[in-house]
Amino acid sequence: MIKKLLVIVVLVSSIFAYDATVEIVKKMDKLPKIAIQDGSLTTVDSIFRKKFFKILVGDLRVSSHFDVVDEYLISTYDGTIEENFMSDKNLDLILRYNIIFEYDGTIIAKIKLLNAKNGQVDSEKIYKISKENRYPFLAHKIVVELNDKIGAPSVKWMEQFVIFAKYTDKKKSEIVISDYTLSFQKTVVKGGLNIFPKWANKQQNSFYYTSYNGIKPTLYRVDVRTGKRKRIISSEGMLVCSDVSKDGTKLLLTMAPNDQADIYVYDVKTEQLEKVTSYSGIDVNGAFIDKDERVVFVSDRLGYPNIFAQKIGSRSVEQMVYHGRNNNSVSALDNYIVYSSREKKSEFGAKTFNLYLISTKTDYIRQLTATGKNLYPRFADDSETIMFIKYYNNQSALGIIRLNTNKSYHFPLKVGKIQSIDW
Amino acid sequence: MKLLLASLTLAMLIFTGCSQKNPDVDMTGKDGTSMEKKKEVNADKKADDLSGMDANNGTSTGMDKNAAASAIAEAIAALEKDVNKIYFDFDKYDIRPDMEIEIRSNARLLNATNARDFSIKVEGNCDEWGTDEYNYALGLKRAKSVKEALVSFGVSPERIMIVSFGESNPECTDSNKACWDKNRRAEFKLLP
Repeated sequence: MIKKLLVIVVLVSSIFAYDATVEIVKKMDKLPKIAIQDGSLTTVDSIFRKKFFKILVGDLRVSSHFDVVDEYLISTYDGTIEENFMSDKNLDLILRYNIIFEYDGTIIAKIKLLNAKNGQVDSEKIYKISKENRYPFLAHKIVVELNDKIGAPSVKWMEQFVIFAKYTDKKKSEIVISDYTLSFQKTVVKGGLNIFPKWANKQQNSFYYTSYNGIKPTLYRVDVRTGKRKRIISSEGMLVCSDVSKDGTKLLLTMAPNDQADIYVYDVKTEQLEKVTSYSGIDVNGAFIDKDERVVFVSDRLGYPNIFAQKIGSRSVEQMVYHGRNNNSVSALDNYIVYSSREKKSEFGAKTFNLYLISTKTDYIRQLTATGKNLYPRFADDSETIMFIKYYNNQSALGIIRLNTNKSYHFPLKVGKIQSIDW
Repeated sequence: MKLLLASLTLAMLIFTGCSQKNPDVDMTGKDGTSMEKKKEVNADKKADDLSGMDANNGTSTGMDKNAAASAIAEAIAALEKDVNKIYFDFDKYDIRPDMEIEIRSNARLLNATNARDFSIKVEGNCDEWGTDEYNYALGLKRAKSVKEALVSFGVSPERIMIVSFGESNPECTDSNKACWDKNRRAEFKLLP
């Protein structure tokens, strides 16, 4: 009897374990408590040292795998007995850094990880980056490797570049490449209206975007290293590259060659277009699902924006979401779909947009946000992290949701309004 | 007036090399009148700087550089001032009954002798609610609805092109209902 019960329990738990929409708060009995010490020489720019500290603390917190001490602590790099234990704080780990500026502009970060229980050095490593303004990536790299070292689920997504468009004025926008905290930003396209940037491949060495500066909206591909751009296609009315297939060979475009917005698959090699949807209303925001064989998209075919799916080459359309009356944005990764839904007045305030997660395999639905306008969700590669745009108090921010720990973080944009994002 | 307009148009075409006349220019594989300028900087993802291309609207088509062009620009500006904007309800793209009369009036104006040689660009716009990708599609449907209404009132469909600007072109930037009402609209631009 016990054996049978055990089999049932295992079976049920394995079914649920397969579904990432089920709320699983990571079961770590206790998160390792960590403090960060600045062991740089006092001659090194103190403002920079503190900025570096802030990124490290932020990364560790966003990873959700550490109990982080916020206090900015100064130490020697070699460390005294007190500095190596910090017994009053009851720590498990100490991360100590020593920043060194080289004459050629390179920044070196010597990193020491100490076991605060015995005061011994666990490991030591040197990281470097060639440009000062890239220092956030130096910090992200350190945290990604530290995270791997303690055996926690990977946070490699922290090293991904984010690309976003921001409105700067009427019919004016810029395209910016940044890190996920917006601490590093580099404008790569400016002048006129340039929107909907989308990475062209996993390597993030080129991206697509739509220019509205010609007679027709035109899709370009830009090589980020050389700055060279190539015209891909133009369309009357509107043109958006909504998704790129995993291998980078196919694009999902929303375009309107005959004044009617529909979703098309564009083959990058053959330059052939295949029309996927055909509806007299709005079909937009296509995203590949199920090994790139199906497309999930937003359509108003029921009289309001909602999420539907269609196999490429088939005409049969499946409604994916049976909740909400205005579901206007969608993103997908493998079998998971995240969408934004406009809510009526609630105890949280008037008319918000919230994010929801569903699986294409089950009817389970999980609410991810509760307040404000949360739009334009985009999965990271690992399906445990979602980036989105949050609007509040006339400001826009990049939002990060860590699904396994039910936590979200916001990184506000100081100037301009975020139009669209990809990472 | 028609003769004058024809002469001015001819003069402008000579001066500007007909660059704006062909709406299919982008389909030829050229950038057309895209005013983007490339700036190339060596860059490496891992170590060096990221590059991009700066697109600057610095290249004038010469419209304001000669009298003929400026006369046409003035004629267009005068007409555009008299064309009514068409407003829409939240999340809708059907023409409101109170806007039909405005479109009928626009059709009359756009078919008048001093306007009928111009092409018409209908620009669809949205308020700030919703995701911008959906809003671009919604703006396009609004522009399409207006185009169809204009055609039903006798404007030639060959003269009309439509484009959506989503929420990128607000008439009002405050965050209140009156402002959002103003932003859900279609506007008209005339092209020589």
